[in-house]
Amino acid sequence: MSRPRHPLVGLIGLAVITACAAAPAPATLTQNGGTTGGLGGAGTTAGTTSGTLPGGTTGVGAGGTGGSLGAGQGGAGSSGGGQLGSGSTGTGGTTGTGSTGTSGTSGGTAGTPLFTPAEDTIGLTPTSLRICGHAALTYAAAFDTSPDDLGVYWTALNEEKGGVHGRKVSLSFYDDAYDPIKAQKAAEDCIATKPFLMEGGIGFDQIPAVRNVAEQRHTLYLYHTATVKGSAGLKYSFTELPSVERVGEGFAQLAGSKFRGKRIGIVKRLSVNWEPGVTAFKAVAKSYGLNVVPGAEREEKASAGNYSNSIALMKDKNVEVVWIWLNALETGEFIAQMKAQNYHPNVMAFPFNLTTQTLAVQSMNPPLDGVAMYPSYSKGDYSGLFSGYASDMQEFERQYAKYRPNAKLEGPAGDLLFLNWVGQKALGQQLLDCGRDCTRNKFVPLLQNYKKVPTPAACLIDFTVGDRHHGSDRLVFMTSYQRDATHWNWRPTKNCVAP
Amino acid sequence: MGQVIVLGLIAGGIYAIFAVGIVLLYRGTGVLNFAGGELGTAGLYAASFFVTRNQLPWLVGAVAAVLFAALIAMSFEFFLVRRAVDADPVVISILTVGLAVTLFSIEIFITGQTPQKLRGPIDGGVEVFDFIVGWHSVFALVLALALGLGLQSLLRRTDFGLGILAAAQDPAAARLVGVPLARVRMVVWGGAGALAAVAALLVEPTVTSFTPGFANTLYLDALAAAVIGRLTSLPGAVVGGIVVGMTEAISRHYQSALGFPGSEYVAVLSVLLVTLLARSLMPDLRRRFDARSYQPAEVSA
Repeated sequence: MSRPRHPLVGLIGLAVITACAAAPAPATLTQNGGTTGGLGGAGTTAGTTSGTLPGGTTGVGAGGTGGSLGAGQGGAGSSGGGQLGSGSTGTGGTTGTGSTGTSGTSGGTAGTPLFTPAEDTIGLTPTSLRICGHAALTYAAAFDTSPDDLGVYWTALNEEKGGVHGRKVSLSFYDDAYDPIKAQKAAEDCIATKPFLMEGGIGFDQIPAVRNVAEQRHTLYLYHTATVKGSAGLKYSFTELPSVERVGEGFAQLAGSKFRGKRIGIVKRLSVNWEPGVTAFKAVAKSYGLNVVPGAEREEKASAGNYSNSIALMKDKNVEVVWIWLNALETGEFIAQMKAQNYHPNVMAFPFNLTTQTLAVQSMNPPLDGVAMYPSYSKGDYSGLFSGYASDMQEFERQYAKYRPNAKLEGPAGDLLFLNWVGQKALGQQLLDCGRDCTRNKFVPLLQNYKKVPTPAACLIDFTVGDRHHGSDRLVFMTSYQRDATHWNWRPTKNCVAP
Repeated sequence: MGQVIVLGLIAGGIYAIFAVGIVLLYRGTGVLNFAGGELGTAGLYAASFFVTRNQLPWLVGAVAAVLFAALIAMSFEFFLVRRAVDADPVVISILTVGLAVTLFSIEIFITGQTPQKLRGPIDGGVEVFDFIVGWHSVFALVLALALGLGLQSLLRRTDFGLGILAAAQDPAAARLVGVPLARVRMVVWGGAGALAAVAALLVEPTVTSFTPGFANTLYLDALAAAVIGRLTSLPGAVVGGIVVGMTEAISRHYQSALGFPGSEYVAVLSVLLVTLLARSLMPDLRRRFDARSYQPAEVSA
């Protein structure tokens, strides 16, 4: 090969490097600054178009305004709407004070069912109900579990109570490999099986991608936590958990209660779907007067592996509290590398037992602090704040002992399996509430008017406020602790923390 | 700033070892290997099998890793490269992309995305500018320098080394003078695979775990380092590695202040472009300078 070719060939490599990223106005606006102080004005424009179908449920107006966190809050429609009055949401409000908002842009279409007659009963037969979902099954081994461990709630329900109103429920998951593109493929595979509804597993980057698929394919989609950003106007997608933005606020609330006056640094995922959490954190931190150190903020790409630069920055800035806004695996690596540098700041992170069990005693010097959208779990420990939902923990353990005796609930997957079980149980309750003649067009309004605590381990689910697609703003604060000689887990310090 | 230098040198040492492997293969065969990162990762899986699963000493795992990566590279040469003997080296370079994808797929198939652990060879390190540099990182830097200079001497001063160079420059002539082409190429491929495994082994203790594709990003940086070193100079590859490592560290240090995520990639690309530009302009400038120097003095009548 002649020399002039060298630079060209080298540039190929460099190219790879660079590549490697409802009712119209008049609106009645209210402000929702609330205790966090950083929320913008959430529009509550009331829907005014009444449905004409008899016996319908509440119509859903929309067209509120976006608050500082981008939550376009649809207003509740007036009564008497059809089965589902849907409408588009309003435009975003201004950032910060929440004083500004504009009215909604379009009227509701009360009385128009969300699903066509052909779509309405997909996934249902007189004897069966099909649910599928996408999740990062590829990480199952990392958590020392199996995808088959995820369906125990339904197995028990089918075996012991004959399913939901005589329908045996089947649940299957497709591997999204924790990747947005693969998540869309997994969602397509799931939808191809004609499910009644599709579930979305953990993944801030995957869910927004799948929401688009669900909307295009008119598939009812119940997902885990994701950013509110980009969800305005979506009709088929719902979550019963707090948003990314709310979780970011929660970390600031935690810092406000524990780390006032301490120097706080941020290590965050380089992602547009994670960033809204940081924005929300900063807004609330500012209102609390927290000391977020200027310049002590560092982005990390997914699975970065080597965090030396970030750790050096945190040390250099004398950071006393590091908020690690990364996933469980990355958090474990980050903390291990901090410890190797003999650097022991307080850490706020997502609380997964995988992290504490990987770090073992390193998770105790000092104990880690966490904020979660899900309940804490530590097998067999019903003390302290666990006691509030010990009945759920015991039922969960009984079912697994009977139907998946080899599942290691004491291991790093225990809390993951429990949060999944609680989520499935909440859904089970809602399907039961939906009745024997439940269809998609009956289930959606039921969901949008849902306001209750479905099971002791869950927090209040309330779809009656906001855009009726986001059902919770409650978080759980946790801390790491030594469960026994060989297990380090998380336990709750505050359950169901409101904004 | 001291920390930045330390971090740059740590990363630079790893890039340099990868880059030496790239240059070695390029000089010996004319092929640019895109599979080095995955060869290194495959070596780590072999090491993990012995060290983590079977509780054997780290050294046993390290030897297994180096041999395994070398074996894969040599097999690739034997079963594919040799069959495409008349192919342009660019074609073989593209084939290495296929090798990388194949290895990545096999790793995914066997382990999923589950992070694997491999305990390091030695605990502890030395504190420099308030940053603890692991002994493995110190060793990586020393090894990179030794490899750069040692292999350069080997190529220039031994018959086998000259045979490697001859085999790449004029295979027909080399064969005529008795250079065993097949053996030379196989050794070069094996050496490149082994070096990739060594680099991966030395970076893993810093990261603490690895997954499929673990070393690919590092390897891309090493490709940049090799290009900065002209792709033909082994000491140049070492210097290139350290330049890339330092560039990244400096860029990341100021990243937050600049509010520019991913600035390290742009910085590396910029350094590379400046290097290439300077290299292309340099002969022209030299020519002009020389021409002016040799202008005959005017003699007045």
